[in-house]
Amino acid sequence: MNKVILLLIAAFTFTSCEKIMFDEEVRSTSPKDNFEYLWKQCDEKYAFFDYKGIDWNERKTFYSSKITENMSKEALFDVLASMMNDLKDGHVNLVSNFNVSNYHFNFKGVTNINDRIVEEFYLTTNMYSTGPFLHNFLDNGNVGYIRFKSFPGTVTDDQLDFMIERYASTKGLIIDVRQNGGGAVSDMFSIVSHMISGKTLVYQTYTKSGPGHNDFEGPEDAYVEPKGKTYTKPIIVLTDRGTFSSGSHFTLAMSNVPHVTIMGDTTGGGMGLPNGGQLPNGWTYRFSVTSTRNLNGANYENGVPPDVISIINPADVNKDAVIDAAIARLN
Amino acid sequence: MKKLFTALLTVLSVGAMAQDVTLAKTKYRKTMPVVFEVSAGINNSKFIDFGTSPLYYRGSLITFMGAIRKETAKREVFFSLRYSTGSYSMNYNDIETASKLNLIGNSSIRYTRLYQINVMKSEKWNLKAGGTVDFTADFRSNPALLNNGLGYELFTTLMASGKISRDISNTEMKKMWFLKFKPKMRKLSYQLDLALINGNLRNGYIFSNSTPVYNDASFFKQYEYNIFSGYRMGSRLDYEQAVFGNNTLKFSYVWDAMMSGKDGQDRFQLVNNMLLVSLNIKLR
Repeated sequence: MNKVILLLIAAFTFTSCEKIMFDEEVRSTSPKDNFEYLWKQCDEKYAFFDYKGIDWNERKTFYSSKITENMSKEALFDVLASMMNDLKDGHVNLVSNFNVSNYHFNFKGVTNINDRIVEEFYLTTNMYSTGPFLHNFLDNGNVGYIRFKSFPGTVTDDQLDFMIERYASTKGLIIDVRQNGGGAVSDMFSIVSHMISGKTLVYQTYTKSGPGHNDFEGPEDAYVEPKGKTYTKPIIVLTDRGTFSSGSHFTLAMSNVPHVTIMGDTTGGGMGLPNGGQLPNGWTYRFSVTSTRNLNGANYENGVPPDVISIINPADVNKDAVIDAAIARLN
Repeated sequence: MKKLFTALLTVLSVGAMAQDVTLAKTKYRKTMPVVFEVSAGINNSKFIDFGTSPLYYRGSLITFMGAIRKETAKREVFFSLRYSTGSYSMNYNDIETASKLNLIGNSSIRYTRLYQINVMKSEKWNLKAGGTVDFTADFRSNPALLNNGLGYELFTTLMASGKISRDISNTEMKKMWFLKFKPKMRKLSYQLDLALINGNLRNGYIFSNSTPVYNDASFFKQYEYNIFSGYRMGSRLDYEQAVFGNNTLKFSYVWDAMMSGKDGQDRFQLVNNMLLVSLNIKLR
């Protein structure tokens, strides 16, 4: 009987081995612990320190002086959010259960569109709504106009085929992605695949691969191949500072399609894929860990510039100067 | 010539003996009792994935297992399929939005072979040693971690296994207070598994899957498989008793701890503590 008891004791003794094998979790509400953890995560994984000329060690010195052990959680959030916003990246957020930090990339320029004017005077009441696209003929049927406000991940080839067929006889197409804050990058490739005549290299992506600020692997080539019905006549893509993330990727990709012109304002950037993580106190964060660049190596994290600058007149109440300029250019 | 003839005869006789041994082994395997085990229970599990969070997530998962066991006093072969499902949570600092995590699966395929070691004086004790091969995969989602919300790992482990069993059958009716114990087969056994080779498939440096950005969406492209990485250790305590006919009921406590071996910042650690009840149906 004693041996049986010994056997049972041995069985449960080994289960405590996980305490020896496993690392301790870093559970802490200490402001210092959370500050250090977040700073290190950014230091080792954020993709744009050198491009943006950010001295991250200097930022640590600056913000660590504001950290005290008895500071409130709201005060800690403000310090960490300020440090994150120094990355000047719309893909950077700190999320607590009482606040979310944002870097307002769209404040770098004017909102280059008035949606009410576009819907009332350009799309008009007989516009088509095909999936996430709003579209209609402009300029007496000479131009097709497609308004695309976000990348919801629901774009399908049949939607694109329908629009391409509908505007097949036009002189040109306007694709309006002003104030398009991004979303699913898969939508971007779907749209581009219906706007090209052959396999096209649209940009290159580098991925962080180590803790050094310049530790990247890549580049990985982003190719798009034609799919279904395609539109190969002149296309104008309208952009502004609110065109961000997948919107900027779309703009960059389309800028490498020969019959496309980018018109409007520089985009908001967001050329890095944001990750996601959690702090020792349970708050979450995200920041960019990849860098998508143009084929010549140009880094457009701060925004893809237009081929033709065109800004609306905020005083206009019944016309959009950017759309009008695009129509004039297509004619 | 005589020497050559002798050598040839020796080789042929060894070959014939080997053939006999092989035939005997096959015959032995075919006569081994076969049991189908169907199990259900609770898996009190926890994991930490330093790639996304420095905090442990804990959960009580429902577990199902099906297994085939061939067992004699001299040899044992065990093949099992296990699936655990449920959700984990992290209860700390009043964080609710980021605390819940859905587990789609934590499952394993395991094959064990054990052979008797004749060191026990008593026939009631039986000591076996051998090896185990195990493939364990887990797949989970935590939307609060955004582009790092999906996590999946695969552990492939070759383990040295040892098992000690004690026959605690009572051969005559026993009484304890008002309880009566009929003569019944009872067995207590304990198995310990220690990793010899522990490999795992883990995410790359940034954890996120960046392949969709360059139109080459692939689930595992940025994953890295390391054949010698981290460690794994497990044990299993079984209490088995006859229930009806030649069938048995088994109560088991299974402990299985595994970790990947990347540097501390990205290490993944998972432990399963399973309480299982099995109905063992004798097939042969």
